[in-house]
Amino acid sequence: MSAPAVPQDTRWWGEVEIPEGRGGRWRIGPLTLWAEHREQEWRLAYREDAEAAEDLLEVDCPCTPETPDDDAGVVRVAMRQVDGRLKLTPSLADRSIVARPETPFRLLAGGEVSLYVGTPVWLRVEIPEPRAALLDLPTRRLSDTWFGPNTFDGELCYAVHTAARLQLANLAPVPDCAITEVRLRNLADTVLVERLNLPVHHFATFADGRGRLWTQAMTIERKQDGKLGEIVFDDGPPSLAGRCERIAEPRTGGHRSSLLRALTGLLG
Amino acid sequence: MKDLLQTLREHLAAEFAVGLLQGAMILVLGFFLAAVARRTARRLTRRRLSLQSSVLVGRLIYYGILILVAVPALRKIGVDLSLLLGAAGVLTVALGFAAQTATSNLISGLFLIGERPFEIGDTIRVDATTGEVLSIDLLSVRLRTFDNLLVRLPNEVMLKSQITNLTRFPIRRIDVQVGVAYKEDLRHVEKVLRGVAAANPACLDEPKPQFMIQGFGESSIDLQFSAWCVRESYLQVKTAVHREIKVALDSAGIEIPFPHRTLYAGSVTDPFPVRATLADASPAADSEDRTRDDGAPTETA
Repeated sequence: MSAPAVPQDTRWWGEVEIPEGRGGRWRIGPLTLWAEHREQEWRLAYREDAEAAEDLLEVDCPCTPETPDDDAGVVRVAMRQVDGRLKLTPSLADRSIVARPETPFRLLAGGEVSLYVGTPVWLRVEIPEPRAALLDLPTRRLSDTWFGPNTFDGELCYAVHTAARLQLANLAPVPDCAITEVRLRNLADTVLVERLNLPVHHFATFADGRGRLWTQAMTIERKQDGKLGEIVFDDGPPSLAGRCERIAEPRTGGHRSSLLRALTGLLG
Repeated sequence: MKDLLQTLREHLAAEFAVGLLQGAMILVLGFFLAAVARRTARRLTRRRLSLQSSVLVGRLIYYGILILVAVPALRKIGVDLSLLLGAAGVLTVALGFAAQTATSNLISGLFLIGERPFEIGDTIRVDATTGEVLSIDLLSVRLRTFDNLLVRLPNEVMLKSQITNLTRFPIRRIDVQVGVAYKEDLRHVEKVLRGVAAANPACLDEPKPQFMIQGFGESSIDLQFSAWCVRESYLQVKTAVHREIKVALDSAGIEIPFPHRTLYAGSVTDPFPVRATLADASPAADSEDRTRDDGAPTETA
């Protein structure tokens, strides 16, 4: 089954050129970003609007500089010479994400299923020369959560409530979310899937031909004794995404032991 | 003869002076070497060990080098160490009696270091004192309180007291005590409170917030609502949650009642008579009300 068509080109990332005295504005889901090129300075402002539509995407660059809202966060970066280029990149979260299906489901013994889980991306604003990150913030503020066997052993993660669609066509395209295909294979007795821990900080970001964001696919197998087997990470998105371009590198290297530790309680 | 004695005296004085000078130089070099070794040891161990262990290793190396240097230095000066050792036995007994407390603190300190109930940088509470641990020394632990006072707690006291480490675990629970009026629908109250936690991203999704009914109080139904957060933002989140709960309860029209008291005038079944007057009634009209047509006063509250 191929990836469904998305209603509009959702590509908001890449390099832009803003002449001095001009600005840019990006509205990506709940997040609004303003950028202004001043003499020897970049001025960036950002604001999250919880009321904004999830699939909102407006890019206006270059444009007349706008005064950001009063409650916007402001970042000023001063430098001797500003060459006018900015690079916007969608990277993944800086921690694991615990995705909770809105309705937990049972996976029968011997069953195998693929889930499509969308997780919000982070907007990274960089200057190419000299390479430096000016801003790195989530497109939507996620709730913190704890993932572990008890309250003193575990890790701090982000929480996402997901529809956990079994069919990609049922997952509405959202410009600030990256899709992860999670293949679950259950060789033991029936298990209730209540939450999934996705170590997205070890994943790279990909974009398909229609501007949809993806991460590497992963396979989790539950062995006959009920314990989690090896978790396998693909090199790229699933084949149904089609030809994809790698647009952002993982935040951290994928250390095997830490991944397995983070995933021991993968299935609730 | 006189000349010989004079020469001998001068020779001995010169020898003593030379020995003193050499001993002093050895001591100075030793101090310098010990300081450099301590700094190097701390730098090398900082990444592999905790701050407390790194400081301890540095101290052991420092005092170890000083002791090794002191022995030849004293010999150079001309001090007979065998005499010192002999006197040490007597001194030990005397010092033992005099230094009981110090010894107890020293040994307690070793136990504290071994047990590690806290480390440098942790925030702990000992009885009524709460503060950040600045150092764990041989005889005492130093805390910096939140209002920037230095508190010195003897190790012996630490070992005997209940110590609460507020920053040992990565997450903490915030308990909010709130009372609502008896007329309120508790299911609705619970929904409002859970909505507050869900709307605040700093409140952890898991462990899930808890809603508990503590009991039926004098003036209200006493509730406890508990939410979790990361330890670093505990105070901030606690304040925010209290504020947001107040706003949410006000918006939902849920009453947080003041303490209520019911007064009875003598008889259990008869309530206090109360007369209400209009706010803009004139005092003259009010006094007229108090008398009947025949001039006798009317019954008033």
